[in-house]
Amino acid sequence: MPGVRFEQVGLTYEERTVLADVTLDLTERRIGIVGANGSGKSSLVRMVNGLVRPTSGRVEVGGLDVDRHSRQVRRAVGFLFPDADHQIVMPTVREDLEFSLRGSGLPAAEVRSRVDGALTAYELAEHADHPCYLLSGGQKQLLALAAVLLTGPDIIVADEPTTLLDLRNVRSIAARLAGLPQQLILVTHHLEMLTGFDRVVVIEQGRVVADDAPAPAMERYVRLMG
Amino acid sequence: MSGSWANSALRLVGVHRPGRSWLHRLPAGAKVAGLVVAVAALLRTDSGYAAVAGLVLALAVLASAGVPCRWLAGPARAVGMMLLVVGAFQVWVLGWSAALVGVCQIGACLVLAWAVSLTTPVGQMLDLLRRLLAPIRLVGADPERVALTLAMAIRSVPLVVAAAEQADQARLARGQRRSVTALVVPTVVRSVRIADALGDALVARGVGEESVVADGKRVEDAGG
Repeated sequence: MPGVRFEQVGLTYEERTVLADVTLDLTERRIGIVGANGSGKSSLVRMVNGLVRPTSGRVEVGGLDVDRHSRQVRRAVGFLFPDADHQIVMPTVREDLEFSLRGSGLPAAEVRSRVDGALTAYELAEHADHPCYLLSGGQKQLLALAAVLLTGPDIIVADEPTTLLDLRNVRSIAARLAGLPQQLILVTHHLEMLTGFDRVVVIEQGRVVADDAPAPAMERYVRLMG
Repeated sequence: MSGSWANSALRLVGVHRPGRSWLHRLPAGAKVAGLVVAVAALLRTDSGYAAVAGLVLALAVLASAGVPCRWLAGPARAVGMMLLVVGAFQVWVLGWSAALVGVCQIGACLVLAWAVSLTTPVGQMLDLLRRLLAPIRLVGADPERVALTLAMAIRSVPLVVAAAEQADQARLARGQRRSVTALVVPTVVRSVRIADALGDALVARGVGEESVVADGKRVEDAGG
């Protein structure tokens, strides 16, 4: 696993401290991050591909400083956002998947073949030429995941990817994520998604308050939430 | 604002329908060139007969694309309503004859543009745009980015329409049916948030060479 390292990371917005002195070495295959709304967990994971830069400390992915090597890092990190609607760039399903492979240098036939494979694997083949806005929430998140995976990332960062989904779609996305060979860093409020994970980090008011196996970490989180 | 009205309007905006008609097989460049020539010819005429013939011909071109009628019906109604309003205004201002020419000209142009967008995938349009815009490299602009911006604009339309619909429903729920502020402010705020989120998504998907810093300013990527 390439691994993500946060070294004494701090983040402040004007007067507000979002993250304070966070040091983590994330090398396990399945890592969950939980915390209350506004605890700083989304800001933390957005630092993994340089969407947010720390105001102090440093973040490394696979030994590369995110600040200095953001292009290489972004190639290695696939990012899933909470609202898939904001991640889909092109008007139709097929076009959005093709967008992931733009500039890849692959021949058109290979692009088509890979896109067709993704459409089938993610049960989107019958919607290939439909406008993305007509998809259901679950289908949009599947499309977002398929688009991310087409780029061949080493690490998947998923920031509350099931927040807007119903239970069936939560389970569907959870199963897809669980089956990925890549390292997965998952921010979620759905604690059942963390079953079988290697490690769970609990963030509270910008600090790591628990970093443990899922059961004790989640117990701590549930206690914190009262 | 109803969902069905919004959906109908959205179908007019750059949504490709796959098919095997002669229009689908024609290269994007030929279609766009044909569209430009047809629009120029239509706008030069002041003959009612020629304008009506142009509209009939445009409808025949659209029909030949083989797009299912049920897909065309909603947007066609939306265009028809718009043309009625424009026509009524022109009758009032310019009289029957000029109104007939004007409405047929606008209708034919819209129908032809719709036929092109229905039969051309956005990817092909982007490739064409990039080729057409290649000379702007001479002044330091990036054709890829301009083409992508246009694709994003098309993609953003349903998101902004949805934002406006949500704001409209919230306005009604709060008993503020007549408040323009209650419609416009949340729509603008949501649209800005959508733009911000789309920007993040583009960066995450490897587009652009910029990063977002903590205080919200963008800086050049130091990577390479």
